[in-house]
Amino acid sequence: MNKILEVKNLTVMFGETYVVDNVSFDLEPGKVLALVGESGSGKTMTALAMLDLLPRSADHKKGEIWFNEQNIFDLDPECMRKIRGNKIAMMFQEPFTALNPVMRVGKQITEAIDAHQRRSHDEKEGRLNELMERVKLPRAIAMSYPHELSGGMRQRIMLAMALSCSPDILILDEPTTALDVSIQKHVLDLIKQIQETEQFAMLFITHDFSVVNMIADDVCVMKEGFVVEKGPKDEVLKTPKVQYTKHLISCIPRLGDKRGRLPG
Amino acid sequence: MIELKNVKKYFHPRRGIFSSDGDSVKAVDGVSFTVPRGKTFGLVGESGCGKSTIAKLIVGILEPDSGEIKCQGNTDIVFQDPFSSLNPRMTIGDIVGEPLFISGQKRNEIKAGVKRMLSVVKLRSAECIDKYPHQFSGGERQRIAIARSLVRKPHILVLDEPVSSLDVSIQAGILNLLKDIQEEMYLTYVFITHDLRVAEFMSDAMGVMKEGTLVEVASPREIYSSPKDGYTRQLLDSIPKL
Repeated sequence: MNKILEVKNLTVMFGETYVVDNVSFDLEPGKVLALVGESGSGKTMTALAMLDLLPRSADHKKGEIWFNEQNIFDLDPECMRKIRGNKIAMMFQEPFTALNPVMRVGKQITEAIDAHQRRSHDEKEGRLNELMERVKLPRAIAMSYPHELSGGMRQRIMLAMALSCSPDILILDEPTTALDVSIQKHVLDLIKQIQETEQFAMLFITHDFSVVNMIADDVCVMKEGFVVEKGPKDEVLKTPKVQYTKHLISCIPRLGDKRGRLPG
Repeated sequence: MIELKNVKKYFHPRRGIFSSDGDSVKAVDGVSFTVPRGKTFGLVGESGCGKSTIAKLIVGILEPDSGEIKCQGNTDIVFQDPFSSLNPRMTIGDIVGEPLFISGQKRNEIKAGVKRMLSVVKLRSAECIDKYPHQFSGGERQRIAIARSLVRKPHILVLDEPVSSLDVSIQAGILNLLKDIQEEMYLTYVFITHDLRVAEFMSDAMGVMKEGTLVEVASPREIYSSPKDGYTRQLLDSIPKL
């Protein structure tokens, strides 16, 4: 098993409070790991640590994050800047706030390329065309401002930005939570399809096990900063070992489900 | 009970001074349904289909262009986003009590009403009455919004995507709570959602809405076991399997 990224005993504290507590997992190239838990379970903080983007109030961090034989916590800011967005990219939850409202979306995508690579104008235009095609948006959309686009379209733009430098690892933080169920399906199918062709490693953060089932190979369940269960998706979904995992799976209403009440 | 008969609501977007007026948007275009007292009607559709316009028409925030809306009893509404629907500068006691204050009730009546409603939504009133919205989680805030909507003792409650911004585990708690409250207070619900699973769990009858019209009205069982309309089938197919 070759690992592209290894998180070892990661601990993050805000003052005396543990938000991530001794978390370890690996990412493999071409595989999707889902990080599942409720809000406040430490999922997002784990992801931010991987980009060395923890807020300043996180005053203690321990553990190691190994990427390309380097510990991310040992790198100086300049080296980290070269990895962030370039080798390890992240797509954020809120497509409404994560885009610059006064810049055309195409420009926002090429800006991401400019930050890491020296490319001529034509090369960038070519790359932009490629990316728009990959996220299945008409090229003309690149000339729009964010407010002119729907939530699903904005999320595709975010995806194009994250993919712009062909990262080795893509982190997605609840990318479809703010979308309608039907739009969510389109966006998830698209993400899955791109991931399968480009074979990057993916860390997918969500609170919804029905989404996990659609996209993940492996699952890591977090609660209050701890990893309570991890394993291959089918194993965790079909035979969850921990009560908390069972609860997260069973609290989703199903079609044709005869339960008058949901657990919770 | 609620009765909508061929209700229409068009919006006319205004353009700049030099451009001609655009086409009107047919937000609700001839919608009819009835909800018997004490039952839940689930209204499902994607964003932009006109669901929220119907919510606003039922509670009277908007007037229909044509058609008829009959509601027996008071109506109230719970909005989607518990982060923006609560005034951040008011305490929970003031937020929940405001509808009573506006209708001219006395201080001690307001206090008693607030306490009762907070206990209905399973919040400890002594602990939260003097706190502010930011001190609560998303699920707790939605409970506060529900308490506010119930404080004037409505007969009809319109719930506009009340759980779509919540985690699945928190969502389950709110859905159970809404069922309990309905039974206790004999309320009629119009439950608006984009999630067919949630609609099916909550409703006695369901309507699938697309571009301002109801494409299918049926029992939840019929909707998922033998959908008649192509659009309903499409929505069913997009549900993640578990």
